[in-house]
Amino acid sequence: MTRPEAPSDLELQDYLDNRLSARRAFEIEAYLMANTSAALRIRVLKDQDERLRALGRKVIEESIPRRFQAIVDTARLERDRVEPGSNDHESEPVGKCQNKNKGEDRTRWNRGQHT
Amino acid sequence: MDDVLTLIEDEIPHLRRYARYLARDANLADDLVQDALVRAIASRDSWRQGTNMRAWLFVILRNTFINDCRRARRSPLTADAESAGGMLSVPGNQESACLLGELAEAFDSLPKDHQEVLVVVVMEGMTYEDAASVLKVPVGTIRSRLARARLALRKAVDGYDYTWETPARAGLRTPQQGPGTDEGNRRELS
Repeated sequence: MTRPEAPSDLELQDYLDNRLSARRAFEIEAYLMANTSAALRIRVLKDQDERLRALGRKVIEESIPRRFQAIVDTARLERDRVEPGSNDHESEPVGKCQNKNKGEDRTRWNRGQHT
Repeated sequence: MDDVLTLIEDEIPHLRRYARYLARDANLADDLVQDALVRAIASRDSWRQGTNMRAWLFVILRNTFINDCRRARRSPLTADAESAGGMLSVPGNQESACLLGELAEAFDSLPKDHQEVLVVVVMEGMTYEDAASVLKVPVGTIRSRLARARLALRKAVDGYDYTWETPARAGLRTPQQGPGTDEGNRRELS
């Protein structure tokens, strides 16, 4: 049996990002077991990734401005207006609206929205 | 099954985050998101099922940004990090604010191409392939740039030259400076 090759820098990163085959990942795990300083370095960078994600999270948690919601809601409304159930199929955009569960996201709009 | 509009809607927070990195100003960023959102919804038929919605939206957002900059005759993605306020301001009065603040500062000091690859791959969790399509560079470039960016960030935090493969020690200060709750508790007890 031949010894597996020592990983390159980029391969260590591939390992960190889960981009390796199961087999190669396994070999690298074995390598890291035998090389504690390399293992520690990977851990430091992994920890840095996690803190970076923590840092980015607060933007994600901010509430979404109403104007964005309004853009999506308007698009829904327009889509549903030309949707079947009524009569003008020919004005539907091609390729859309087939297997959609109506009633689900229309309900909020059904009241008083008829033109 | 989710319809396309719902898929787009779900990505709004991520669009805002990426836009904030691009525009470096929360208000400008939201204007950018608005433009991109309108554009994306109008052309949603061109999104292909099974491909990454976030990457598709990011391409639109990024193109919108670049066009805006061109119109304003600024050079968008080469500009250096120092321009107006960082993307990641320090969070409020959380326990970890200090540590994260340090990281935020370090992040803001990185070149833009380093920041962008970290945002797209590390924060957004995109594959290298999707990241490559957003940044319009080859996958190999994403991979090597990302490795450099991670090391650069590390170095910006504590000044150590840090490598993936060469002898350690550097960068391995004792981990105790963390806000580790255990440690805090212990201190309180003693």
